[in-house]
Amino acid sequence: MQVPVPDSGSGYTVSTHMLYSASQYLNDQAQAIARVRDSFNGACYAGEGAFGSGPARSAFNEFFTAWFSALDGQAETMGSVADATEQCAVLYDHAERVVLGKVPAMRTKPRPLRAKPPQDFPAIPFP
Amino acid sequence: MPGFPDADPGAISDLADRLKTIGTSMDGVGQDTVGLRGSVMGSQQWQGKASEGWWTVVTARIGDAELTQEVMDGVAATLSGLASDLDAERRTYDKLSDDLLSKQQPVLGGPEPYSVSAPDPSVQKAMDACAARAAGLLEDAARQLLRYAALAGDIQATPAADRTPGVAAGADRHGASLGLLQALLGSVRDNQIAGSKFEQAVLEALGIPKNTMTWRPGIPFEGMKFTPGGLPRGTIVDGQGANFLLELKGTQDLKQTYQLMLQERQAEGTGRPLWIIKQGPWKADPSVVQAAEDTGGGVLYTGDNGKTFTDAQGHQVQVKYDKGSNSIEVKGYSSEFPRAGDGSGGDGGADSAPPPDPDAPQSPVEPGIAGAPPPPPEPPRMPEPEPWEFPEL
Repeated sequence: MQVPVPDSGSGYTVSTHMLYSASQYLNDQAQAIARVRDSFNGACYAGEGAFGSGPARSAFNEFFTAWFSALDGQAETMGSVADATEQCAVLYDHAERVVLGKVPAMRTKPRPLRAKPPQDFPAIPFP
Repeated sequence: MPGFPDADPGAISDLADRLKTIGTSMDGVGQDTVGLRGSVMGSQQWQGKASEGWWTVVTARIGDAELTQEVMDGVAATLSGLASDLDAERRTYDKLSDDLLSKQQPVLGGPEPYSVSAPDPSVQKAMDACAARAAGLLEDAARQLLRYAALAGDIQATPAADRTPGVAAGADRHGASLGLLQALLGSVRDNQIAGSKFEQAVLEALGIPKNTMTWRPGIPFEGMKFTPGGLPRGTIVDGQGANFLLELKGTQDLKQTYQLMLQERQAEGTGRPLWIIKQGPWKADPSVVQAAEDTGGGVLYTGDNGKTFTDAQGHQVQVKYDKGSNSIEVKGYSSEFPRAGDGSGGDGGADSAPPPDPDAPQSPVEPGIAGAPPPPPEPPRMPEPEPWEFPEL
């Protein structure tokens, strides 16, 4: 739906359909990052013991902790961006309805009167 | 005699492969989001602050994905090399060990029935060197892993406070979308747009190197937060030196946060005053100022990315960083919350002398910048949204 923006002064349009689609797409990306986060968690869990007991092990744990949080934050934030994008579209649609509510009814020609059956011949009084 | 490190090259190699795959996945996320951004911004004329906000936030998400991909690729390469080198050293070590055993001969008439000759010192030395090289490889990898861990601090993603937002109570088309974006994404935008550029500019202006060291509280306290891995949640101040901790805030609002609380604890624990440099003209919350001044530091404002500073009263403050001693000197700062008996100042601690005469130059300030400039203007405020109602259908 192409929604004209009446108060913009520039006559540009916003496709709320596009924003809804973008929101869904961003939400899919958020899910993808969440899956990456889970894969990262699994990989690090499996590989934790690979470094033995020296400093590399504690450094790897530090790396895991930092980047698990970073991936978690990215997934959550991407979801928030998806939500905001959808809400933008919702707001545009709401605003559009407001605009439509203020549009006065279109003036048209009066409809023609309903056709009536032809009247009978005038009654002729009996003499 | 040092033994060979108990690391598992095969498992490290497997881990490297999985991290490489994760990097590829994040590359896909970044590329897909680039395509989406182009589709949305290129197919229609969506203009104004709302679209700018959307573009900025989505661009930051792309940057995060790219950084993640680079780090995962880098770690995968590091671990892959480590696994290969460790495996080579392990093979050498095992071969030397076999040689050592094969060269040992039974000693007839020795103190024990099955006595063997002493190991060949040259082979033993070669084995020790092999083990030491392997330990060195692991130490190098540990250092690189810590550097990659620190890069997680560059991720700009900050979850919005509310994942289930409601429609703002009334606004026109622009105001509503802008207000919603600001409410949902304001923290993200603040962090990414103002934050990184502001921090970089101020650090460059002062000549202070960017700090990447994480500090974690060692003493438990009420409300302490932990990472998913169980470590106390830490903080990385933007700069630190012998007599200061420095935090830079390029955001409009500055209120007490867990991060600032940790930095105040760090200041108290290390005896170094916490200085917060905030982008003006918006003032920090008084609780932040008081907490910083309690550590001996304070809150400074800059409107030109660190070229000049003022305190809350608008007095010019001089900040000088000495690279040799890795310390700063702060002159002309007037405390908002002076402490009784605190007369220190000019050496990294807050100058809590009596409030100066605004018409007179501050005594520690050089004549060139002394004087009382006009107070900073009131912070801009967002316009209140106009009442808005749904139309009756």
